[in-house]
Amino acid sequence: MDDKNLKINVPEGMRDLIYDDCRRYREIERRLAEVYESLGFREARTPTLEYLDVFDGGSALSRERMYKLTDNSGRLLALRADNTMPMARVAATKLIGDLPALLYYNQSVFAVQSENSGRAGEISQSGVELIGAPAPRGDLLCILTAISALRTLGVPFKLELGHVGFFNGLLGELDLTVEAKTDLRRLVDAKNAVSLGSFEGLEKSQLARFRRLPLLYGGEEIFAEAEEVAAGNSEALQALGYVKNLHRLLTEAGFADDIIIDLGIVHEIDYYTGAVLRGYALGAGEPILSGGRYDGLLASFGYNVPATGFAINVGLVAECMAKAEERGQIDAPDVLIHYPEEKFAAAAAKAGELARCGKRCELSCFAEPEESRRYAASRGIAEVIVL
Amino acid sequence: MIRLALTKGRIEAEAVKLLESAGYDCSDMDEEKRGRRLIFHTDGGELEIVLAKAGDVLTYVSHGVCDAGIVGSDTIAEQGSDACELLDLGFGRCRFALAGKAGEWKGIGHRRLVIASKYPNVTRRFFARRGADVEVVKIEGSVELAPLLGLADAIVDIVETGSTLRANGLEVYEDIADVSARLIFNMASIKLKKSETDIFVRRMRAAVGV
Repeated sequence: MDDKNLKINVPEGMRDLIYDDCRRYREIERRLAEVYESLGFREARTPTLEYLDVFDGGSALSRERMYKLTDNSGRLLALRADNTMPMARVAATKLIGDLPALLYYNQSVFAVQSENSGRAGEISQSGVELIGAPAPRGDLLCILTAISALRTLGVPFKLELGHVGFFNGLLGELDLTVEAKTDLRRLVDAKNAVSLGSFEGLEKSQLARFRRLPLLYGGEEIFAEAEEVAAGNSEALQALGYVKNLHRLLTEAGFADDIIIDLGIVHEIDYYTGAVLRGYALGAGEPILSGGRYDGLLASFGYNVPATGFAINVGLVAECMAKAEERGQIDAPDVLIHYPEEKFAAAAAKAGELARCGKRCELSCFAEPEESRRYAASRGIAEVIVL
Repeated sequence: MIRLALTKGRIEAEAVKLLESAGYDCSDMDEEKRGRRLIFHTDGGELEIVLAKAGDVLTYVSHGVCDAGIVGSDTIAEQGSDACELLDLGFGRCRFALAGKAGEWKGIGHRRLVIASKYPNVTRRFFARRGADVEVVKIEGSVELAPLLGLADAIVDIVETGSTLRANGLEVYEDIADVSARLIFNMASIKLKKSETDIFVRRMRAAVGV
């Protein structure tokens, strides 16, 4: 860009939000804050500028990608590169003894993006941190909050559940250099089946095992295969057992349809130690929600307590909403119930039952199942129940 | 429905052959029917094919506007990608190589080398692994010219048979990495459209024969 044009432009990755964009951001943040508060969370804000040291060591973002500047004594500062680490700092210094601290926030993180990638350099995040909340109850509350949060947004979604112990257990068996382990982690995380197939330095049987990891995602049907992959590795089996138990409890609570399991989740962020989450929505090419358990992180701030949490990318959700609005599909119910007239009672009962587990549903006004299906497709309703 | 971004040109013909043998009717893409369209449909409507340049295939898939893509691993290596690389399709095979005037490679020494390439990132990574601070010059067209005109000490390029190099008095100094066409997927797509993805990948796998 010509230097004299700087006055009338914004830096790469930065965005102005005008009219509808602002309305969507506000609406999303308001709905999410309502959900968080209804579940007992309280708001916290941290400064936009922190010492770079706060963000160092967890590799949420590499130093190269932080926006850096110096204070008047030459110390390195960074624009907020991550929300979890400053929240951990706050809890470890100002909330000692006040546990569990259920915090929520609506604030941006900043990351330098590669040129012309089209990615935002300022990302509005809305999320929670459950500090001093051990597994499994902390995880259950975190997942319940995540599902409630995603549901209130009105875009079709899936919440993915994994456990870093599954991969780390299998990795622990290997006699590899740190660099090779990092490569392997990256390949499994990216589901790069091709390069995994030719990964050097692994025995045949181990290679076969790691090649199955990228495909270990789906519903409870994958547990049997996961059992085979983890055979003989106590850490991986323990992680698997933990995920199975969470899945059973969440299924009993009526969340089975909202959840998928992925035991190949590795997570590029090092500080995760247990169950991890990612949320996907139709219309967003990358996760709209990301989080997990980070039991070791608070200790690095001098306060050794367990913790978990997640963040929702408000900008991505706003884009999904804008697309849904264009298609006339905003706030579509989750379920459409098609019923023959004489089964009205059953339809009404079903609607009540779905509403109790937080699903929005609509009774179809059409007589033919085909008409209902067409309507559901055009309105963006994910599921049609035909009675 | 799966939307597949297909790299125009050399990869396209082979990819269409493979899609046909996987049972997807690509007659919508026939020369006489296609005109200047860029989006095509298979007969069952389960697959939509978008034609794009190699780098754009990665961009569309990484932003999730296309679920899948077929693209050379040379482009993935150069541009970087957060997509899942699910399948090596076996065609478009060639390799990245360091090459230059026959018999003139002096190796990495105290003198700063100038390397010309269409793939500056691949080049930088290759030399960074050896701690060599080379100067990389980005060239758009025939890279072979750079050492011949005296701009560069060597080039990093994709080499298929090596005949263009030989015809210009150049030779391969060292192979860097193998290249072939890959089937890639957006991470959110494989999660949200699991059953459709599974079917598509299974059929492609069977067609490739792995």
